[in-house]
Amino acid sequence: MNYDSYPEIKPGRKTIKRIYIAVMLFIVGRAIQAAGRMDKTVRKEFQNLKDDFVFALGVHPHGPWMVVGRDTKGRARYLGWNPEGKKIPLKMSIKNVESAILVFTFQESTSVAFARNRFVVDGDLIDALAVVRVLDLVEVYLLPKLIAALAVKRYPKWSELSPVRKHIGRVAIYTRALLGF
Amino acid sequence: MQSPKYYEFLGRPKMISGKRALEQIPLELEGYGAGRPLILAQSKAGSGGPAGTIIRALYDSNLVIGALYDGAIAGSTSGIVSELAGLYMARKCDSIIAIGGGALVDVAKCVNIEVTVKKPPLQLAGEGRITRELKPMVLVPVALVSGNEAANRTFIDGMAVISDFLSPDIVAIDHRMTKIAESDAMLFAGMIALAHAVEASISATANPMIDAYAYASIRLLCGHLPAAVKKPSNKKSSVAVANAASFAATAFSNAPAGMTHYLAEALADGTGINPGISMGLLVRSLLKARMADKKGVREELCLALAGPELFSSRQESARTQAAVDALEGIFNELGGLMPGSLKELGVAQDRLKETVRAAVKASPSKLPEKECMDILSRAWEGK
Repeated sequence: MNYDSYPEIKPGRKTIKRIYIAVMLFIVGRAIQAAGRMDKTVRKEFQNLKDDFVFALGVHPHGPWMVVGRDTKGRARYLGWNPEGKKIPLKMSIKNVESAILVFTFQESTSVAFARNRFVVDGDLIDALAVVRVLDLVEVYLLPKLIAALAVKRYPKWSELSPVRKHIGRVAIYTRALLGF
Repeated sequence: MQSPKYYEFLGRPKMISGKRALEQIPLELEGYGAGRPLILAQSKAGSGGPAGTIIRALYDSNLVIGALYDGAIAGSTSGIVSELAGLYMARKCDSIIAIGGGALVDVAKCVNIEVTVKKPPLQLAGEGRITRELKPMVLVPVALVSGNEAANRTFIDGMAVISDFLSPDIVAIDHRMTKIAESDAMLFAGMIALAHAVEASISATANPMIDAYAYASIRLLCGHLPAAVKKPSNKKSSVAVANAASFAATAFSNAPAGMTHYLAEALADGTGINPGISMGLLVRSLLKARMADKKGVREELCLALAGPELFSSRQESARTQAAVDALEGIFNELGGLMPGSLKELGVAQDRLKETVRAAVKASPSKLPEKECMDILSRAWEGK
């Protein structure tokens, strides 16, 4: 057997898919920050977290990532795309790009992806579940009902989130997310 | 269900099944501290072949493919195993990914023995002679045509090597691979899985864990085997059959091989008939013989074959009949794709005695010769 006929292969990169995920993470990261100011449930979730709480959500092993933390006033703050050099008590990695695509194209909701073991959680699981609840709510604000219903575990009833509150919140969150405040 | 007084069960391998299962392999191997696999595939690399699919699935990972062997493997022989072990060492690989079934997986396991134990696998033929963990091995099934792929055994030069360490560490079942199986291969895999699951369930060592694996395997086969054989590209059914075959292999690893297994192997040696087909016919005859003898079949197996609805709607005395009817139902659904008897396959009647003798000789436990002959005769007649 000529071993040279069987060379080493370095698998390539899925650049376009990674760019799509990076854009989605950027939008969701900024939207979490905005929702933390607009929605009392998101605000409460962040206030219940520890003072120096920071979480990173991204794709194993080469990213992209989003980093979101809690500031001293208990509000959510988007801290950028680079987890390097930051003290991150909760790191939630999606195991690979394809699993991330399933989540960010809403073929699988975050909770289903969690249940299917597509995430690796490095940190406190209770905090991770709070983050999943926040992500669900942010998706409800960001996406039309038809798509959001696929992305979240349970779409909120009218009594939990009235359409008026949802639409006002949606406009405000999109505006704040785009302007970054 | 009775609580067993004592039992042992090894629930290996880890199963990953469904959408994007292949993409989970790099992280799983990372967990074993491995990142440089030797990949053995069933066909030549190409955009449409399994090799191309696995390379694309490994994109964006820390993994580097040490070497990809995509040549044909006709059988598991010392020659090919030694060459591939050399390739593994030359490329400094640390794990093995086998894509396919049959001889290719036997070779992959033998390569694993050779590179870990540093002895030719033939020297370790027999049971329990491997005493340490081997390198991490991932099995990606196309069709598990021999029934041994996900089990604790391999073959080299016609000799069996059996050890708990030979079960793959991970089985990754993905429709991108299972859908390329051919109809015949799907039938062989399904029938072997059915026979192994049924035999494990009626074996003397049956325990709640074996029952659980056998139940899952049999239910999946009852629901999906005919559809998968008629149309292997049916993603749902082909994945279900691969799952069933893997579960049956685990049950088979934990129970002694039974009568139908040895008879089918002996028949294959003598006539060249695929053991999958004859195992299917034999297991049907075995159940019918038990029903005729009024020995009956364990409730757990009746439940698996008949399904919960039919099982619960029948009186206790009629449950074995319901189970046999359900099994017959699979054969009827398969129609002309599954022969009805060994006679139809061209087996001469005077070969049956010889087959029984060979099976009894091959079995480490003493098989009842009379019962073997009765079952083989029934299978020959298609009863």
